Amino acid sequence: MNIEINTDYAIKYGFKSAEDYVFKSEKGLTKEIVEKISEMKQEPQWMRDFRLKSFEIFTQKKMPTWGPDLSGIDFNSIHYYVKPTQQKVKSWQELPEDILKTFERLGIPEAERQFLAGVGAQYESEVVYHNIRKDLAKQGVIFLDMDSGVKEYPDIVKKYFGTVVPPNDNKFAALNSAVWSGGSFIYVPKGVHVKMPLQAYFRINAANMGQFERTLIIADQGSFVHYIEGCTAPVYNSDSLHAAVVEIIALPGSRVRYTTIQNWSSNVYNLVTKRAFAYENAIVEWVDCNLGSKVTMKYPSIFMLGEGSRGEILSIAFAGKGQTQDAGGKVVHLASNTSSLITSKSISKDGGRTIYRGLVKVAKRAKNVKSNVRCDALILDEKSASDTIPYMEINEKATITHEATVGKVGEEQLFYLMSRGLNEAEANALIVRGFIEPVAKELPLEFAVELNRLIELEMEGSVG
Amino acid sequence: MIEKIKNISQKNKEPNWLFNFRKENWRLFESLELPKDDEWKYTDLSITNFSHIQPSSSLNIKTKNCLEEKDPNSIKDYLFLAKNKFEALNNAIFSEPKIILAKNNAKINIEFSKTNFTKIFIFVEDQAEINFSLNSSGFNIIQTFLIIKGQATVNVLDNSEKDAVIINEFFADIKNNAKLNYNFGLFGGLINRLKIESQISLNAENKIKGMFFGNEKQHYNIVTNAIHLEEASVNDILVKGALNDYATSSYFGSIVINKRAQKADSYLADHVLLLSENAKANSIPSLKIDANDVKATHGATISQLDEEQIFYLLSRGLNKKEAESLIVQAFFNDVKINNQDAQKIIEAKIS
Repeated sequence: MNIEINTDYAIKYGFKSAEDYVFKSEKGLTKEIVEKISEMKQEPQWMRDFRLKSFEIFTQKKMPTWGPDLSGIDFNSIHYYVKPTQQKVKSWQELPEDILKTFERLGIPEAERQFLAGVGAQYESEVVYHNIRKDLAKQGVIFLDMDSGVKEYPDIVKKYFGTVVPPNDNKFAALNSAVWSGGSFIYVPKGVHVKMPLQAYFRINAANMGQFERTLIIADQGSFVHYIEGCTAPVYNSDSLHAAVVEIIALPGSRVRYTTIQNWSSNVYNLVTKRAFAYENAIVEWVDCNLGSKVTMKYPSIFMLGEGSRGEILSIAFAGKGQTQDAGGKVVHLASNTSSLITSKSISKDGGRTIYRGLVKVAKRAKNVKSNVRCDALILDEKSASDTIPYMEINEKATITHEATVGKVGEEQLFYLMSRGLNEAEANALIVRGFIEPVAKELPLEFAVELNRLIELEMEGSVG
Repeated sequence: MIEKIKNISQKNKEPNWLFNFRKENWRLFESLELPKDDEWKYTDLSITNFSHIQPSSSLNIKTKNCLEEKDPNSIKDYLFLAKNKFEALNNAIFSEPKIILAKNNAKINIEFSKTNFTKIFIFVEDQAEINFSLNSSGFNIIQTFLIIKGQATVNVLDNSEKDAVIINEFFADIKNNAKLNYNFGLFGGLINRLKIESQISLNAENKIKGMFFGNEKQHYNIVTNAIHLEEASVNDILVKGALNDYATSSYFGSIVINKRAQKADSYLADHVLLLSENAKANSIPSLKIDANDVKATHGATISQLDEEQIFYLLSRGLNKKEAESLIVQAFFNDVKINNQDAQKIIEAKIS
């Protein structure tokens, strides 16, 4: 039986609600729109200046000259700011009905009831719902949308905002810095361990929409936090743009884990800059699962600034029909006794292309660095392709290893499973699940189940 | 310079198309910037100086069982418009092309000294052994085209002068069922580039084993491009290097498997030892795979001497220098060129 992937996506995530907005900016981007966004958000002068400077940089920066084809992006046909409701609410029932329905269908409130410590939901440009458990709030954990963060904690935000990913980092970081809206602001005080994950959910509903959320996470000394984000969008004919920026500051001795399960519809350009600073003995872990989207370019990176810090990047990429997943990771060792581990698993099918693009850099005077990179790619049919492009820049004695393999599903494995009564598609799906297991097992149970289900969906109807 | 190019062309009695090819490339050379792509991004080319460039060649070829071809029309297929400034320069000013037909277990020895801008074409009909020995100085661009229908063994030993800039590029067209066995040892030069681009056809095999050793301020720029054109093509590459003092290296190794090249089997490994705190190594081992029924694997390591191994050898009575030298020798054991001269150079370099 053949099931089209996109029709399935359409049933589960691809529904769209009526576009009934409080404010929707004109198509295209001008200085006036940037000013308008800042004005509507009643921002302080410094943020307004930051946006305008970033807009300037955006107009000057060139598109990347490497990587996948981005010529389909028309910056003039995008709505840069769409405000769905007048204000965000603290209980689901207060949400406007169409938005409520959307998130009920996606299963967010259930997730919150079951096991989340806090949850934020972003619809178009604005965070519409936000909640955090009372016991965490009492311990001083801050989990807000970024806009509220700017208003309520200006000192912390001003100190860190834009320091990890400066606006001139790349064109899309500049764009985000100019028009950002929503995203999460998290501060975990010294020594506090947030035992349950904090979650945010990002949803694009309008056509030709650009979503530019901005997330800033600060883990103070000795603290721990796990943040999970999920992303979806309906299926439209015209393309949408998602250009987020995520900044993490892991202060000495802290540990931050950031998990992404993105499942954008196949008309979204997903161009995200994610970067973390790890100070003395801090640990930063990116768990990045990339399904869906038209083109994804995303290389979570970790700058190890403090001695003894550690970085880990786990990445899964699945490219189906017409999709390019250009993903990977970057680790930059700037201090001694630091270590890093990158594990990448990519799967391409139905003409999709996966690309692992990575960097391991060891700076001069960073002694005793260890780094291990392992990337594996499965190509499921003859139309599909996979590239591996790892850069290693080693300026000090260090121990660096890199391994990569590309191949197809083992015929013997297939034969064995089929001899046990599975059909070819089932056997393939099982082997793919086994292939991604090293990454999937790092996810919380509910998300691992969700990921497996998504992979199964993608694998349905696949033979060979 | 156009005058000088005209002189070369007239002296060699070249056909008009070749003279035009030279002129066109000279214009390209003048308009192009120094290359900055992934093959070159870690190579500091700021010392390259084109103001003293003169067409020249000082090579000495000894052959056994070979015919020399004089008609440049036979190499027309292998003269492409340059993709970068250096290629353009050599396309413009290369001296008379050396065209060699190798038959019946041929043997070819080529020695380079002083400066060279040359193109060499070797057609291997059955079996051939080809030895390159470089003792050059100054600026050199050497491009060798190997068209292999049988089995070719190539050994490259470079012990050029300390000031030399060497751009040494090989293009191997490995025809159906043919085999290239390529070994290299690089020890000399200030900037030393070795590029090996292999096009591997049906059932053909590309095997490369090589080593480089750098000290003082030497820089190695090594590129291997293995392109699988057809089914069941095989590729196996192992490159090892050690860097002492302020030496640096850049290795760009790519495996490309075309859609038609199902059942390809490709392997690439590069290992670099950093012997000094000031040495630097850069590596980009890349894969571009467009077929699904293939095996493609690469591995890369950049590491330092194992303290425990040194400690063990010290405890057996060796001094530190001897211990380090022994470990480095062992590291290179599986890529050494089987040649007495090479062995002597390695020993001298390492100790």
